[in-house]
Amino acid sequence: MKKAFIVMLALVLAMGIVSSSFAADKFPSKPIQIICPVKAGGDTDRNTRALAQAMSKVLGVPVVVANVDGGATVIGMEQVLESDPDGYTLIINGTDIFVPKMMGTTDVSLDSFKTVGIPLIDNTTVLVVHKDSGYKDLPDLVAKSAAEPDTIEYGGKIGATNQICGIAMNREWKAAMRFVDVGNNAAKVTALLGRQTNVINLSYSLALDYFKTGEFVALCLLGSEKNELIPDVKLASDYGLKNVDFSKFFWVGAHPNTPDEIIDILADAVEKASKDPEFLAYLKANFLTPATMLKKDAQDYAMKFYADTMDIYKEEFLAAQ
Amino acid sequence: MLLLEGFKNVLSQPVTLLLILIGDVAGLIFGAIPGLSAFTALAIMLPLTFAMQPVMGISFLMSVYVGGVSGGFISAILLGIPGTPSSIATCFDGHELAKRGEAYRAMGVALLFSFIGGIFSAVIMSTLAPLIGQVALRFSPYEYTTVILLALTTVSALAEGSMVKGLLSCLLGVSLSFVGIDRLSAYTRYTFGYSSLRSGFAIVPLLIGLFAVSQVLTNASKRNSTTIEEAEHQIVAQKKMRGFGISIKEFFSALKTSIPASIIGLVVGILPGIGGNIANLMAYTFAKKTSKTPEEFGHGTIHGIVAPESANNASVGGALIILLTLGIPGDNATSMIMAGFQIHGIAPGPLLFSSGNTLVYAIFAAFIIANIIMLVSAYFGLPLFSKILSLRTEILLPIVIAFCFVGSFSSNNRVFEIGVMVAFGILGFIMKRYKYPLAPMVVGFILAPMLEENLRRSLMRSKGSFEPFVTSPIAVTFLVITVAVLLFTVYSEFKKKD
Repeated sequence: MKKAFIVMLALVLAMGIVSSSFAADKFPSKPIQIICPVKAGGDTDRNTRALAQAMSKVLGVPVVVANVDGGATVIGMEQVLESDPDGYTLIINGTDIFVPKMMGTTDVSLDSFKTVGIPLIDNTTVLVVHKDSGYKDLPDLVAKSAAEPDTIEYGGKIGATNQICGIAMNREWKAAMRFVDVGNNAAKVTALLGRQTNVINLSYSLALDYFKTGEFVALCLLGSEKNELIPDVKLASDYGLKNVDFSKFFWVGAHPNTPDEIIDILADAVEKASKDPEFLAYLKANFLTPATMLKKDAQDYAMKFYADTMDIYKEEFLAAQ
Repeated sequence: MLLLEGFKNVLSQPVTLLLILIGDVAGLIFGAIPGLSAFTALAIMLPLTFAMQPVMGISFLMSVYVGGVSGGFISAILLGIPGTPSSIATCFDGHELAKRGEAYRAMGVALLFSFIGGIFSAVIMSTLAPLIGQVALRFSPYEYTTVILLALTTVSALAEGSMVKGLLSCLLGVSLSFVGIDRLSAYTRYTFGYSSLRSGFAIVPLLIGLFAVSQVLTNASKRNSTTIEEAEHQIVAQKKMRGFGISIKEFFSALKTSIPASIIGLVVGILPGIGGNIANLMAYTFAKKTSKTPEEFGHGTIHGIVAPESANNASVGGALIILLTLGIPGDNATSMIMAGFQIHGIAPGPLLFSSGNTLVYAIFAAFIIANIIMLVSAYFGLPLFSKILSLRTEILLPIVIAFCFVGSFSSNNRVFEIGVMVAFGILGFIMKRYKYPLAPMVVGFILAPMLEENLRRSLMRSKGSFEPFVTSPIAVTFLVITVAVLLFTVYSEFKKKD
């Protein structure tokens, strides 16, 4: 009797193993949730929805976006770390992912997750002035700022990558712009339109109309490579200055204990999604650059990006808080 | 004339009218459920418009927006629970009227003046939009700081009974707003090492807890001592009424309250980030302070409904003006509308009016038609809504609580928000029992972070000098009004004592 019981138990266990590996073969068999750690409505949210749609086509299950806002993206990331490591809860983030750890408010960062991939790069960050400001071009702005230190205002959001960008510009170009907190993207546009601030950095598509009317002038692209979709905006290196790269990668990650087979399936889906014609059309319409970096490659890219463009300004950034 | 073109555009296909009707009703339902708002409705409905033609899609989104902002009055009046933050002030007098058996009348008035506020802002929007857009650009952090200071003085009118209790309640709200990551320098405050608190308390679960859960708790504690037969008697017989429940004379006297309230709503709606949440409270305060019978406020006067409901619908027009002329979304709901416009080939911004895109006028027309259809469809719904009150509380309240849980969770897709809601429910229950008013706490909670942000921003810009506050003409005007309101309040408090 006892023997029979043990055999049965073994059978049940075996079935359990079989069925769970069967489930892994069948991944995904239910809807996948992507946590977008910022509010709905901005460019990160828009990118997430475009990717979710393309991934859903590849995987054959709904891919749902859930916005979990708060704590400078940390709250959303923690929610994924607390979820089951089964690949059904993913996280997206961008260069902002590094900031909370830099500031010492959390240990959570990009390497707390397994990287699935980077399907796009937003190389559209431009340095913008109002046409009435009288700055002819980038060297003109740099020269005027160096001549009168702390008079030209660079408006952005304090405690975010745009503040690091300000530090980088001052150091690399020997400029002396004064950083002033203006707020989020919408507030930056308002401030520059109302001539309340002198210089801002902004994603090109957010002020397209103002570039068309000539009211806003894009002095340079804050990237390392030219964006062919915005041909008239030069790089800093075109003026003989060092490029200050504040392009933004768009990263997809999963719980660190997610099995590798599942990560493979997800990475494959991200790869296929990044080549989906509709997704590509979306990228083009928003001047974004397609990318297909997966798993380790994507993580290495992101970590190198952090080391080259952010970590070197860390001390000055923390001192300015 | 271009506006007529817009109407032709919208009306040319009858399906569009049907879509507006569906959008209005769906919006009303979302607005009426505590925790779900115009934003939630828009987020869910937006994908539905992908396959529609531009005019249809835009009309549908506008109707969802209009319905969502209006729907809040239904639960505010029937249950004393604001369906959305923009109908907090509607509870004060609306629910009092419902308790007297005049729920139908209260809702009729709310509906009628939601419509009037909406139409008022629509008229201003379709005539003066580009001009107003330019004025809004003049607002820098200095001006914002002073507007928010003025808004804070609304607390004095919301402090029912004891001014001291009102101010204490407000200060509690101010203190609670500091929890979480500081919006400017990302410094973590008052989280006691508890990482979920880093996001601070969100307004939606806080509001649901404070108003809805506490209300349910209060009712439950009362019911404990009564039998079912007694409870049956407690249901207030609702008076049967026709029309909107008010006479022509009352209508004209209410209109006098409605016009300044609509102007307040429009102006506050124009300022990005302030919007309807504050507009309804400011309008209520203004109506109370300027009323010849301020003592009636809070005890069921229709003017106490007219003011907030005109203001919150007028603020929609204000927010749309800024969105359309400058391409700047003022809050979550307008950023959803903006996404919708972009999908249908309208890029809100300075070129919208000069690009000769006739769709702009279709937006205006859709906004006006959505308001009209909202009026008509909700009018027929009024008797139905009042029926809710004939439900026994032990059936009604569990349903309300279930919606509270759904609303709190969906506000940020986090179980933590449900905990926040329950905690504030208990706090609200205790505060009510000891007669501390709840509205001042919400005002403090909403305004304190805005005030801090703008004040710090101003001082960062002026390198610590307060001078710009008195050299900017706009800022100085608001400061003077603020001081005047304060002095007036102190004066009338003293007079009351004598």
